[in-house]
Amino acid sequence: MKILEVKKLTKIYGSGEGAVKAVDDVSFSVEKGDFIAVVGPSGSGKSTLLHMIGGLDEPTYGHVYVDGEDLYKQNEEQRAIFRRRQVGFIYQYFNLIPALDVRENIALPVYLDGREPDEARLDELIGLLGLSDREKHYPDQLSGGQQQRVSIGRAVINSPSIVLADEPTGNLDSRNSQEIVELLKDSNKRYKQTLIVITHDEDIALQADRIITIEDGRMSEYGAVRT
Amino acid sequence: MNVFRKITTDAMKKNRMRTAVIIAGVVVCAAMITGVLLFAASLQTFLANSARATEGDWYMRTQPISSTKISTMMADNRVMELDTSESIGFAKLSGSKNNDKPYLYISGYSENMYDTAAINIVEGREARTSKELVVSEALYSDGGVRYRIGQKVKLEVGKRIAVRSFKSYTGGKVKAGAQIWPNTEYAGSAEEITDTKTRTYTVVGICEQPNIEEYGSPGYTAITTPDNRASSKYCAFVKTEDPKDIYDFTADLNPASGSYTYNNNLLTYLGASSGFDSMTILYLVTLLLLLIITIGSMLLFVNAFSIATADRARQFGALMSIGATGRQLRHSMLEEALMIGAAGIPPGILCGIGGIWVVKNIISSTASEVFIEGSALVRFGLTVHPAYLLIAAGLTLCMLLLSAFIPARKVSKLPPVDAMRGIFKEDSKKPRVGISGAARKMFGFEGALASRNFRLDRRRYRGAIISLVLSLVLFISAGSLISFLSKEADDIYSWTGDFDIMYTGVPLQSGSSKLAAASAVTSSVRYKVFTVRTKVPLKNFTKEARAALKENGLTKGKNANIYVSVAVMPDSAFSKYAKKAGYSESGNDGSSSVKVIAPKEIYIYSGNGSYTTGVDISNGSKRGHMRFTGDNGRKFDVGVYYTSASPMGGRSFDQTITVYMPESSGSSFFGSDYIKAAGNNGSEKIYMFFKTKDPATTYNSMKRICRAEGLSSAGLMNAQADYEGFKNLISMMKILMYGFIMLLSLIAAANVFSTIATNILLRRHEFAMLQTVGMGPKNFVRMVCYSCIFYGMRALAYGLPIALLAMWGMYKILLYSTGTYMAFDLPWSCIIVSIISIIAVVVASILYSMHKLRKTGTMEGLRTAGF
Repeated sequence: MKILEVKKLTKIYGSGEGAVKAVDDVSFSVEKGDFIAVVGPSGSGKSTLLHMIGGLDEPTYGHVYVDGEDLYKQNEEQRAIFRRRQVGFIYQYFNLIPALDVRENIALPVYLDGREPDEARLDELIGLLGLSDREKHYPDQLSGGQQQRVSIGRAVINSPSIVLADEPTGNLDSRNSQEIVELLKDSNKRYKQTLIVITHDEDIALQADRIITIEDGRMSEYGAVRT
Repeated sequence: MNVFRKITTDAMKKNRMRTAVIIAGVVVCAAMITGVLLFAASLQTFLANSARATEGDWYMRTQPISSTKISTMMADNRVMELDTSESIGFAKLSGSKNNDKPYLYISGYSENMYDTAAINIVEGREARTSKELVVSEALYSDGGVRYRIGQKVKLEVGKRIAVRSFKSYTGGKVKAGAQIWPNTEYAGSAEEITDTKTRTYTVVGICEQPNIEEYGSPGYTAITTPDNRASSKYCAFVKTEDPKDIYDFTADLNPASGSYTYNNNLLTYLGASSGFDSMTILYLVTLLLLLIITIGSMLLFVNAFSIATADRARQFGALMSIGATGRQLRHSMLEEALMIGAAGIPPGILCGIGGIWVVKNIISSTASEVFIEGSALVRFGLTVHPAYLLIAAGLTLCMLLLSAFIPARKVSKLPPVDAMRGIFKEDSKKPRVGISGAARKMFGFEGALASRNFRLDRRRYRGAIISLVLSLVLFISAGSLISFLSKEADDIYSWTGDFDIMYTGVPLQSGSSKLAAASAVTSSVRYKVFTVRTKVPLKNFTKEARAALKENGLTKGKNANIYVSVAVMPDSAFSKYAKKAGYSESGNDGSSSVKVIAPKEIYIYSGNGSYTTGVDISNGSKRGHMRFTGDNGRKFDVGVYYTSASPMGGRSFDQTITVYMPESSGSSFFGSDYIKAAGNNGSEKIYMFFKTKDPATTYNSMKRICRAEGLSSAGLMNAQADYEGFKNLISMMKILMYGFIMLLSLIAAANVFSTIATNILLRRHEFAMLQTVGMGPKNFVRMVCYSCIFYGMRALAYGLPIALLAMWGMYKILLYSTGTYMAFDLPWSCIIVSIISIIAVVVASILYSMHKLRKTGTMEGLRTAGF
């Protein structure tokens, strides 16, 4: 079942002679539960593509359909709710809220929904992330690896259908990187979440179901890793 | 749990200094609004109380009407209070010197009617029975009829009836046989007193001439107790619940023209009268001040919240990426505004009340002298009405909420990605700004960097610079206004400084000579003054003066036809003056035997521009001659000696030119009754000037003498007290104006501080990067200095020209309204102080930010890069 469909997606920055096509006419679809790796050289438009898929940046042309719904036909309020409930975002630089502790940072999307988190689920998730002894700590009291785990927790707390990760291991050492990838894969398998990861790491890319290669804003390859 | 509140309080705690500065701004803003509103309300109350004290506590009063009509009035539910004075009747006064006031008009007052009508008893007490009488002091000072306390008087009291019909100024046509109203002027043979009854009264009190006794009314006020007969007629003194209703209420009575009077001053001060009056001016000034405070404060608040939002843009972006809606973000900013409001508004209002309380105490002592005449004493009190406090709180809160909403809305509309990158829509529209090569050559790399940052951040600085400019303009304008008023005070003093007390009197009353014997008088001089005209060639005057003379209709052909005050002084006083003027008998101008001394500099009031021009009428020569023409056409030739000196009090005479002559030559030349010789019939023929050791004691002593001698004390003027009073008024204005501006400047300083500090902190990544490539502390200091120069200079570049323009405009308005000629003077001290202050604030802000940056450290600064 197609969870995501991208049609002729284009993003142009600037205008006239100075115009830059960050993403140029990209189209593909993703099945539910797939693990997709997006690879390509620096500045090729991978992050821009991910932002458009996640509803963070409006495309110049093209459409993004999530579960059959045209994402950019919705208004900003609806997209915000989409980002809250149907998408989980993980960044290279974590982007945690300094004023909130680990528990609060993970539960943040729930609070934004005006609800209180299911304490049991939160405890389970914190346990899975290996953060049980750190749950009252603040971001500046955590290592890079620990912060990224919090990020993952935040991304999956609402059981979104899609998890988007932009270089999730870019800021981590190799041991932490592998642990993070395992967590993501675990989440992908356990909750049947579609996972799209931008990465420079070939090892991580090879663990995906499919690889999308982006070069100069264009999709040059979309192929299965394993047949 | 409210995550946004936690995020907000965390941000506020992290930027303690900036949060404190904004809260301080809120305190000042709320205090100022409270202060302005309370002051205006207190001033209005004071003015209303002053009107009550001088004119009485009523809104409308009628001529005598029947008790049935009174009852009808009382039944109207608009009426709050209705007092009555019974119109008992008129009695012919024997021996009244005033032909237009031949009667005593007797009214019956209840006890509280004395307060309602503002009757001020100066001797004795109120009448308690129908056989007791209180009379107005004008009876003696104006009418020449003396009633003493304890004296028994027999009066034939009756009605004033028109013998034949006549036209009155007040009430239109009066029919034959009709009863004439008390306010209708004396009709001579057209009226008579009929239906008289003999009444005997004992005089128990003397009161000041009441204001309700009209100028033209033919009867001096006399008060007894009411008869309250069935046929009695009463004057109603009405107050309505809402003062504005009095006009409709009166119209509904369908009164005859002239049969009612409004207490216009009181109604004006209560804000009841329509049209442009002093209360309108008060309201407009209050609104203007509130507007200035609002602008100044909004500039701070909008700037502060813009910066807070910019600072938090990345966090907002992150929140938006995980699903926070724009509305949630905006609400969080509004909540921050509410928190700041809760912290700042209550103390602000308390400070406002406290501040005005202090101001009120300062004013209390001076205000009653400045505003009240006569012996009525009204204190300037503090009116604290909850409504004003609510308005102050509400207005400040609205400003805060609006200031938080505007930038929050801007950020929430951004794509989350741009918010996270700290990119704002307008940034993409900005042209590329690099380091200009010319700037680098002139100021070095640091200066070029400072210049570029300044150009990039210009938008954000606009608000701070505008508030600096506003403060600068107000400060310099206030400074020049104060110096202008001080100069005017000194100018008045230069006219009146050679004497302490002045008395002007109506025909030669012997009693006036007793004034020289009042307590503490050290010297005095008495002039008999009459008015004539003379011709002075127009070519003697400057172009300006000629225009002024033409406007006043004082030109005839090639000459100016000017009025002259001829002041005749005792021989001894004249010799003293002659010595001072350097005049000696020898060297006279042949033709005329009478010589006068004339101060050569005269002042002409221009009707249009209302300024005076100092003109030298001597045309360079020390001697000359003038021909005077009296009102009856009779001509007098006099030899004139021109001088720059004036004798004591000499500048206070009415006419354009004043000449002085000794008594001996005056009487020998004109004849002893030279006033009649000149054909003069007017009042105020005596001017007396006194110097005293203790002006206040002398003044009170003279008032007693006036009363005893039957002189009108209206002619007494305590010039020294008036001058002191004016100076106190200026001091009071100084305190109020500078206080206001200082507070406004605090807001401006807070604005500048918070803007500069945060804009530098927003650049910490850039500065950290510069450190890593080798920019050392000295380079940073140089960059800071250049930044100060750019920001400070920009504020001054806009502020000074605007301030000068405002000053020039004010100067022109003051010239026009006060009629005083004054040279345009720059208040240099104010200008210097403002320049130094602006530089100080800018320097302080930049130093603080650099200090914070240094504390942060390089790596952390670098880490604040992208995501």
